[in-house]
Amino acid sequence: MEPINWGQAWSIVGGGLLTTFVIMTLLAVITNLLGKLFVSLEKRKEAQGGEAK
Amino acid sequence: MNWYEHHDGILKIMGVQMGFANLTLPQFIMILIGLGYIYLAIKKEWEPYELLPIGAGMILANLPLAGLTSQPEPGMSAGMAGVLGIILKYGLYLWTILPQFIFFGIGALTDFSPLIANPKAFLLGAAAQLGIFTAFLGALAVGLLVPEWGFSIKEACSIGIIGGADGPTTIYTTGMLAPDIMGITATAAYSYMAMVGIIQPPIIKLMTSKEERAIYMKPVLRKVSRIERIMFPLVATLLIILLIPKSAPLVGFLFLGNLFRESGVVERLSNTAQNELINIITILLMLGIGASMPAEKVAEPRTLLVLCLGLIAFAFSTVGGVLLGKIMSKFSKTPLNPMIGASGVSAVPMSARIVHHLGQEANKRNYLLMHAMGPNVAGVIGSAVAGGYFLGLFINF
Repeated sequence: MEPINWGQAWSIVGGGLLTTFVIMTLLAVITNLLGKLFVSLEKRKEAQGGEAK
Repeated sequence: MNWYEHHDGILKIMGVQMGFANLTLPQFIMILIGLGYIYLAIKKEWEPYELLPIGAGMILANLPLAGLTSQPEPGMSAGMAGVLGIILKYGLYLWTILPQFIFFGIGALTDFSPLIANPKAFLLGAAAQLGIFTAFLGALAVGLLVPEWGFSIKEACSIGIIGGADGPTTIYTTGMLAPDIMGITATAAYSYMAMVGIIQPPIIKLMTSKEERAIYMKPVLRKVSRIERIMFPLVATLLIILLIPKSAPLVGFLFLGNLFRESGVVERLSNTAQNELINIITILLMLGIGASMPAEKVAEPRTLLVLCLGLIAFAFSTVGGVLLGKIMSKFSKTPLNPMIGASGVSAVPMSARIVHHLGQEANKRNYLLMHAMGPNVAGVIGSAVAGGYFLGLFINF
């Protein structure tokens, strides 16, 4: 059994938590922006539909 | 000629050919554990789709002389490989394709709308991966206390990933990093997923006050349009895989299944992924997991340690989710029940149901299911990301 390199172990933990949070935060931001974009597009479409009527 | 001499030949044949004469104590223990799983599945209805075939796999694999777990080898005579051995070799150890197809089916079954409607839930899904890294450190720390029981870094990654509460991710990651302990980690992951109703409530109650659990959240989330539901798997696949390429086998298949579902144009394929395919793969995978638990290792201290560390991982994942839930609750403009953080572990949908149930227990008006489903499906993504991160450190395809 090789001795554990604790420096490597802690960097794996730090890197892992950071990676997970960064990716999930990016997903949250992109999803939020896409949501806002599509909601506003839908509202505009509805408004245009209302005017046409 | 006495009775024994007269029946000598028959007794010898019985000694060689009868299972009873060849049954070892570890095999007997494994058969008892298998029976226990079947009992829990039938009597308690704990995750029966998983526990029943796992239990059956354990029993079948540990019947002496049956040869069901003989893996195909070059030069082996025709028909000598056992069916469970073929599942183990090609489905789990060599090709590791079964977990990916399970993810494909999960993607086709999952409605990501609660997450798309409330993207903050992504953060809760990330926080609930805390247990993965806690158990990783715990597994390494074992070697400090008792060096001969110590785990390597790769084994520690595989043990930690149990904390994601995600069976396929655990199997895939362990299969790639530490196949020797796959039977134990996979069994632990599915067992704890089945016991999520016992593990999570006391931790949630310990970490939250009754007032916090009673926080009322409006039961309605915004309606998510079809185009958003189609865009989501595409955007998420590209983003995650471009950042962590090694997560592709899991994340790619999860979102491929989801794209089939949300596209609305391949209904037959989506239905197959949601039903026949996932059912067939579940049978093969669960039988394989049951068969992969080696009898000779069942009573070893390292096996028991993996089970303990898996439980610690599960507990800390719940703690991580609830902690971030509490922080978000303090700063959120709209009321946020911190308990929904606990559903960030990816035991879908059990974890969300538990949070919903606890919410109703504290406040009858509460209907937290949809709010808890967001972090719950985010947890599936989070654990696949963490698994891909571990693989990226050690595996070069």
